[in-house]
Amino acid sequence: MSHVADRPAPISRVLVANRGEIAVRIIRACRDLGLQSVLACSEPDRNSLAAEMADRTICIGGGPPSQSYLKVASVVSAAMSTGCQAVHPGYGFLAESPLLADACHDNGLKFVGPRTDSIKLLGDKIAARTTAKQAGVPVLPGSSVSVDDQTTAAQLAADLGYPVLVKAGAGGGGRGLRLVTEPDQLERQLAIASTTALAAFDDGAVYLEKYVPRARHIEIQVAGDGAGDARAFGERDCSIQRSYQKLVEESPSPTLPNSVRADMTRAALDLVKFVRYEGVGTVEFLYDAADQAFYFIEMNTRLQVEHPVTELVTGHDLVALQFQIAQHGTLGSVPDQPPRGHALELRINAEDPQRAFAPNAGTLTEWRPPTGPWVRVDTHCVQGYQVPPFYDSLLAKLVVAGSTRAQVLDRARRALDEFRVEGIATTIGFHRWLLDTPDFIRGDVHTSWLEENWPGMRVQ
Amino acid sequence: MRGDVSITADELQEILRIFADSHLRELHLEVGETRLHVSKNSADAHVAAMPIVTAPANAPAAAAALADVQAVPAQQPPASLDESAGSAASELPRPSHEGMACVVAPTVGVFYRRPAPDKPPYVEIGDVVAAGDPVCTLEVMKMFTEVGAGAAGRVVQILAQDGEAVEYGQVLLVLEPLGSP
Repeated sequence: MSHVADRPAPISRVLVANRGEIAVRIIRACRDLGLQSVLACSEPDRNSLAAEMADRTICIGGGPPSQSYLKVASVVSAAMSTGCQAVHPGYGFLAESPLLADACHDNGLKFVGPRTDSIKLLGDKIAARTTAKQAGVPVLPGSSVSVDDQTTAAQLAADLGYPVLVKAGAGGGGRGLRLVTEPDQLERQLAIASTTALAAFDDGAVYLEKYVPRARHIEIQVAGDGAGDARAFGERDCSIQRSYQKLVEESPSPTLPNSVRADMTRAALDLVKFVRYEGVGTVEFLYDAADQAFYFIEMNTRLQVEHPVTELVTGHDLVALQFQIAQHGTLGSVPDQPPRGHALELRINAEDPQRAFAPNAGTLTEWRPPTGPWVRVDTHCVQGYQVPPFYDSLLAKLVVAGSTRAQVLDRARRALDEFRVEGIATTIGFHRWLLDTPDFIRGDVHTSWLEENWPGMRVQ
Repeated sequence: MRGDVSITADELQEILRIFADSHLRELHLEVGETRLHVSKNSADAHVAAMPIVTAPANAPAAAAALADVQAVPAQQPPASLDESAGSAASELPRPSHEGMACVVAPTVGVFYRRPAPDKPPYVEIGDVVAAGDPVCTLEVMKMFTEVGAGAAGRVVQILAQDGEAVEYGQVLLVLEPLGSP
């Protein structure tokens, strides 16, 4: 509690430093909590739904993110000059930027997220691996330092056994991630991974990890108070992916045995307590169903896109919890009770599934999302909305809840059938196909399943 | 009378120029169904520094004037967030200022008319500046950046208030270009 004294002023006004559906989500939480919201937006987002909903909007730059959403000085200046006490970074953009967290702190603003040291430690994937090991969390066999020279890399890869994964130390979102199946590909893939990482993250460090085929992606939602207390909020199974991008998330996982769930939850909490993590976060694991073994992948030090899935099975408002922790440094009255029922999120992206999910921009000439019982749609889209070309392709998150998985799948099919979109190709048709696929219905999928089974992957 | 007496955009610009160069503090003008109110009194909210034009939407001349000149709703913007120095920047109209040279904010920040609190303002209304002359400064996280005039001209409007939070792309000053020799 020693850090209570240096906490900044009580939070009554929040700068929302993001766009799209997550800006809308955060503004709604502000309204629920009686907080004023100021949206820092780019020029093309001036007329967005979030801009309409915020108490005030301040334009911080041009359309390309490098001119607006990624400019630390502009974000902090916007917060200070509009009288905000806190900055909520959402996800993506500057959400995991130690520079923004530091700049907020230096200027008396509360960064709604973890301390800078946690962001740095867990944002560096190599350091995070080491930290997880120290906390007693299982990690995949691999290198604990950056591999710079060919000979060391070749020796390590041979020890691990092919296939191996080359990963970027500063990585995220699958960038700088390369699968190497044969020794003679290693040199080339190392170079590609390093170059990609350098371009994307300004850091070319790469490391090797053992590749687990047909693994599932399962993550634990956590929150910590910064002083060593922590809670877990169940898991999310995010195994339906393409190019390491999640498309479907559900909770609970359809296949995780209870004993493994308990072990995985304990491991996640061990890590959170070990780094005295402050805020909400997600500990990601690979789950090898054949061996019932799980391995730490990384920890995301922010709100996750798929957080609504957890909200619907736990009843907790995770954005409100972020503000609770930011304001009071405690978890508040979060009851430690297991999640109930089932929830499924389908990402509706401006991507053409028939053309290997190629992104497309344009105008939503028709936009009629489903409503009705057990359906939640988080979106920033309205009829006539012009999807700008600068940003990611997420249009909406269709989230469906129920008491059983079978019931949720029925309701999700109904909701998808009601979803009307014209003007832009979306992932709706893909999801409708998926929900009728025997493998998915049985829960028998893994992170490469989509790419191996969706016919549209082979059409370029 | 309806529609018989009207005012053109050019005439409106001319009136504003004369007003800007005059010693008058305020001007209220009604021509037909077009009402114009301009003020140099900085004690008023930022809207007072700009002309207020109200006119029926179907009056062609008035519509042209609205498109051409600073036009704001006659009522004040919602005041819920206005107790700080910055007023609701997003409520500002974005006129075309046709024929004028506008100095726009190159970044979000805090607008200052003077290089330091104890120094005189860079410019006053009516001043003539050369291209590149500093006309104001913007503070971004304690970093002060002078903003220069893009072209030579006479300052006819200073739209941002000292200490106000300004947005990226916001018009700060309006210059009437001077014909190059």
